[in-house]
Amino acid sequence: MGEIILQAKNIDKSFSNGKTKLSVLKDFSLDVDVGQIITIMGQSGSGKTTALNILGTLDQADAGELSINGKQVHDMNETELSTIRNRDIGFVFQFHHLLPEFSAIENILMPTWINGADDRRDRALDLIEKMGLSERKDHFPSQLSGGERSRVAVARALMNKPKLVLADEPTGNLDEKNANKLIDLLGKINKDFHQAIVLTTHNPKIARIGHKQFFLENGSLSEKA
Amino acid sequence: MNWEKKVSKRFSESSRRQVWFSGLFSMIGMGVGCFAMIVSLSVMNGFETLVHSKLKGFEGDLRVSGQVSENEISELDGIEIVMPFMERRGVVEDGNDQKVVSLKAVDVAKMTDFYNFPLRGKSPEISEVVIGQDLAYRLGKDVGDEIMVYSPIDQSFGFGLTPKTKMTISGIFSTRILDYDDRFVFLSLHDGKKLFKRKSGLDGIDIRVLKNFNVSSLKYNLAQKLSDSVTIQSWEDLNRSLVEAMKMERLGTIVILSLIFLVAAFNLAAALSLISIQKIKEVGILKAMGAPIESIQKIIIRMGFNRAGKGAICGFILGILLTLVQNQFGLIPIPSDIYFIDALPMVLFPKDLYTVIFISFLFILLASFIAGRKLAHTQIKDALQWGK
Repeated sequence: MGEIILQAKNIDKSFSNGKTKLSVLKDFSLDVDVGQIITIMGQSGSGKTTALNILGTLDQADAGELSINGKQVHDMNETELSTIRNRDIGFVFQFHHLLPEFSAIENILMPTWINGADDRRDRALDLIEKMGLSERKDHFPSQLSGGERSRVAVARALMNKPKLVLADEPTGNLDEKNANKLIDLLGKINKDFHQAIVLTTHNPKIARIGHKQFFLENGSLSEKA
Repeated sequence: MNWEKKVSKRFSESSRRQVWFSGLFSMIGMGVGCFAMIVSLSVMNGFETLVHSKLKGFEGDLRVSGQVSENEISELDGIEIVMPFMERRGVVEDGNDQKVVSLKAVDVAKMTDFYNFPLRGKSPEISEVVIGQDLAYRLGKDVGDEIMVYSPIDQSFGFGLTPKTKMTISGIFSTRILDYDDRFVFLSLHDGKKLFKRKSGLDGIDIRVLKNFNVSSLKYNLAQKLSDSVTIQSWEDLNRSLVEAMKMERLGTIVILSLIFLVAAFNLAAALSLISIQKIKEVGILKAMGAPIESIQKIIIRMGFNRAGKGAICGFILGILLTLVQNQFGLIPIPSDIYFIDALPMVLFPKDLYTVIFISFLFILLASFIAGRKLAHTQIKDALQWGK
């Protein structure tokens, strides 16, 4: 067993809507080793995004424990959580979530700007070249295709060399060709940069890239045999 | 360029069209506020300086009250001229007209050097007085006319009429300050000593301090040198209620004019709140990338300063320019027969500029902080789902 980068233990999460309480995650536990690809498959509304939000500290669990890079998230204040999100985690969202006011290269550089690191434009150019977007680096998100935006989002997630990348249905909005291209890219990143990837999808074909594959059903996580 | 500055600039640019109107109003509001405050304060300063110089022109910078010799004071550094005096409530009379006045006996040889007010006629010699123009008007007297002067308190008890001294009006002064033109009558120390029989000597000495010499340090030196039986007061101590009233007036002006800033701040808060709603998703993205709450607050505050700050700077510069132009060319006239000057006096002190900068920046900061606070604390997952 390798070094654990993310450990979730008995996570519970429910949403209340007035009188009714909807339980989304029940006793959700997951260990992610460094360099490992984990895929979580589930139907729409099965709680994949909620799970990833909690694993990425974008949301809080009702119960359970979460540690990232050996640090207990529960004990952290907002500033420490911001630092974790900036340095240890890279996010790739289904709707890419690029900042429309910034060009592709600026979007990629944004995590390093927030980090206060020195200008790392060379790394950003290197990443954008790896994504095959050198010609499009100065274009704004509105000038890019869906596939290109997703690749910019991946490059942005990798910019600060996080040990963990969380990808929430990154292919959900792409056609098959672009989806395959993105998945190949994630596989290559995992090999080249040895980053752990947790990826949610409802597509069994895409889920196959995982070293471990899980199903999320009725809020419970089970590993595919 | 730091990243918060870069983000706030881009957010401002992208939202300029949507919140153009309220953004413009907050900018104009801040500009008008700064301009109005600078102009009002400079006019107040101008008149205050005028009143101060008139008061000092009449009373000097310092007054030493008590038994003290002129020579003892004159030795100290920083003194331009001293004026020994005796003062008593007395009465001037012309036929049936009687008026209670302050009789001030002074060293007439120094009168024109010490007192800084317009005087028609000349300084009084023996059996002569100088009266204020209001008193002259009430008594219907002019230079060369005669009046009766007496000091009831100095008359010995007994039967008979109070002895009165006939004196000629040698000059009429005009200060246009408080009731001085109606109250004061100047006469020579020689006549003073004869009139104020119960006084054993001088009441005190008025002192005019050399220009640029520190009045407080001279006051301190006098206190060190003279005995405890004398009182040393500056012109501000002597006119405490007037000085306090002017301070209150200034405070009132600042508070009332700050309301312009308040209205501009409401506009700014509205504009920034609108931008905040538009940018919720982007803020969620930034926070997901690790931007701390403080950075989000900074971005909104910068946007506030970017909008309203420009207006404030414009108003600030225009206010200073108007003051300079008025001082140079006297564009706004005032009646010289009332104020003895032809143009509206405008004086700006550095502390007033700091006050205006502080107040305008405080309002911008508060409006931006309030508008950005909710945005900065928005839950990331809610922000990312905004508009879905």
